[in-house]
Amino acid sequence: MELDRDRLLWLYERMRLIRAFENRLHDDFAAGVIPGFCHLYAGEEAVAVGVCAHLGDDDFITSTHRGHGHCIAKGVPVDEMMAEIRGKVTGCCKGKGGSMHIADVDRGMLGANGIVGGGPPLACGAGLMASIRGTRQATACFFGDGGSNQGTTAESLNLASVWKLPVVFVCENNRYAETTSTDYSIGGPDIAGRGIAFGMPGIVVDGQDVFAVYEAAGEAFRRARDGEGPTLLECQTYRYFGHFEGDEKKYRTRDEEGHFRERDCLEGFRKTVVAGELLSAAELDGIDEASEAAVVKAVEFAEQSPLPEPAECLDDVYVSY
Amino acid sequence: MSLVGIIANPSSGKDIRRLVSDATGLDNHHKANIVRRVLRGLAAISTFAQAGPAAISHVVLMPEPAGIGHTATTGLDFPFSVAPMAMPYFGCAEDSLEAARRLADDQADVIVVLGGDGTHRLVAKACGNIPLVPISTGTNNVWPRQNEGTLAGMAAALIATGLVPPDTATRRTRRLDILRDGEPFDTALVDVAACDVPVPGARAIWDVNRIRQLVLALAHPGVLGLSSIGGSLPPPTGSERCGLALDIGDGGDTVLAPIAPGLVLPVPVRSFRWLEPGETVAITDQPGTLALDGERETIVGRDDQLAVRLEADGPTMVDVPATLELAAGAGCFIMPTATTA
Repeated sequence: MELDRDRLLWLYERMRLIRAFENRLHDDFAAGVIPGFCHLYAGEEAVAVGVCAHLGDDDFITSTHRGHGHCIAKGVPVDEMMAEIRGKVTGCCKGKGGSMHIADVDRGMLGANGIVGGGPPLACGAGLMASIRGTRQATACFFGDGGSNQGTTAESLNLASVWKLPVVFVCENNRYAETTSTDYSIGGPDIAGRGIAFGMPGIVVDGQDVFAVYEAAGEAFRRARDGEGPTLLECQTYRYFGHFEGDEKKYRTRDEEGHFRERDCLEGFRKTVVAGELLSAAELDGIDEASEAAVVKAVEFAEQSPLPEPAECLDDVYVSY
Repeated sequence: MSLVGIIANPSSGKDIRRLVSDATGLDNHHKANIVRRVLRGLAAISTFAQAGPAAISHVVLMPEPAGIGHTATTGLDFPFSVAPMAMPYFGCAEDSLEAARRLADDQADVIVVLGGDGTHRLVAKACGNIPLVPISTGTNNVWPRQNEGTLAGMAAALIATGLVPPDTATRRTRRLDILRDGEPFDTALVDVAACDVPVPGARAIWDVNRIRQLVLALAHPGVLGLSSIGGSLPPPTGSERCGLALDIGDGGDTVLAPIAPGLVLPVPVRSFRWLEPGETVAITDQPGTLALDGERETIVGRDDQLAVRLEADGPTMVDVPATLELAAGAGCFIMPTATTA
């Protein structure tokens, strides 16, 4: 695993920006200024960032209903994201996608998805394109423990294996499909093992540790780009907020929440790089401040942007073939 | 009345070595099946011993989110109570450590452990003198043996009930204490590697070019993993294989060593020396990380004063075949003659 200084700074800057973005949305949703539903990614930052660190603009990701972290990790500007989530015309989907259908195809972000298990077939499509064209483009397919139980996911794992597609399936196992615990919703009983069943390596990764995700994803993308086929990474992680904003989280305990808060990916990163003398605490503090400022600026940009005109309602919504 | 603990790590055998070597995965359904066989073996022997003072009264399982215990016990009746341990669990490595700590507090008679070297290391850190029945389900399985579940369960019951006296069929293994400023703060069972990878990351270590120093409690050519590097060297004349300290790098012989499944690599050994219990090796390669039993655990700072000391009083391992052989010799498996009216 090679980690130069620029890469370390990027990993922390992206995770910290996601955290600041999601914390602000948490507050703004409670204040009633965010239209529609919001599913926040805070707590899971290490997964999106550790995976997307291996992707360029011409690589792809497919996302879930909890897609803000994936967007930021893939390089979608937070100004455009904040405007999109507020339904403004300057948003990356001109305000018509909102939180749950946010996308930025130019940056390889093929869309958040309101349909659980909707992303894996898209990832196979992107992978098939790269395979047919003979490029070295790779696709990361994010889905959750709930999505792992969908038929579309099983079909996609099978298809990707049969065609040896350059897709890395990234299961973000945050222990709850909405409010249903994996303790009694995952038959098998493990998700990584399902990769093995479909003829691809399936491994468990500590999703609270960006270095663990980064290292495992690096090997998975090497396999993908070298034509060795797909890989399933089960990243075990935890979301700090509810399934959706407003969720009272009555299905989990404070002990459990406290346990995972103690293993926070940002704090873990800070401890590791300072102990290893890789970065200084002052450098990280600077990134903290810059991230907060970037989100304030994004909110201002969104607030000052206009709503779409009613006459534009159907523009860019349907595609003609 | 005796207590048996079972610790089955749902995460063992699923690390990054499936991507960088030919290691295979062992899914949790398979582990549940092994635990089921362990329970059946325990139950069979326990039935014989029920009249004795040390009959098995309780079997407790480490709780985990994969539901291994639930799957293993579904539809079965046992001559003892079977229950998950009352402890918080989060599906992480610390669960194994906490389970071992609680079993030590409850004075368990024996603990059956499913995992690789890493899982057994965690259990050994907290279990004290409780004998361990190892079942290898990991990637590197130097310390745990490839014991079949049913036989492991039978052996565990024979030890727990005293039908086979523990001191006749167990052996004390070695351990490696990790010292900071002369004080122990962690333990390994098989190997400690100082490497120049700056962070623990995915933990497993397989790139021998990143290793600078290696300290082994066990060096045998018949094992897989970093300890095979020492195992590939000729043993000292006239004595059993003991501990070993190696400097990895050019300037000496190069040995061929099976580092991981399907991964047999040349490893340059600059120098080495055999170790006796009590000897200490200073970690001189800094900064980087220390890998304990094949998993990067500890960040080594530039000014850290770290060392590794070989100790003779490591965890106690139950020798499953020897236990069964002693039991057979004592007639433990002969069914009572049926009496007729």
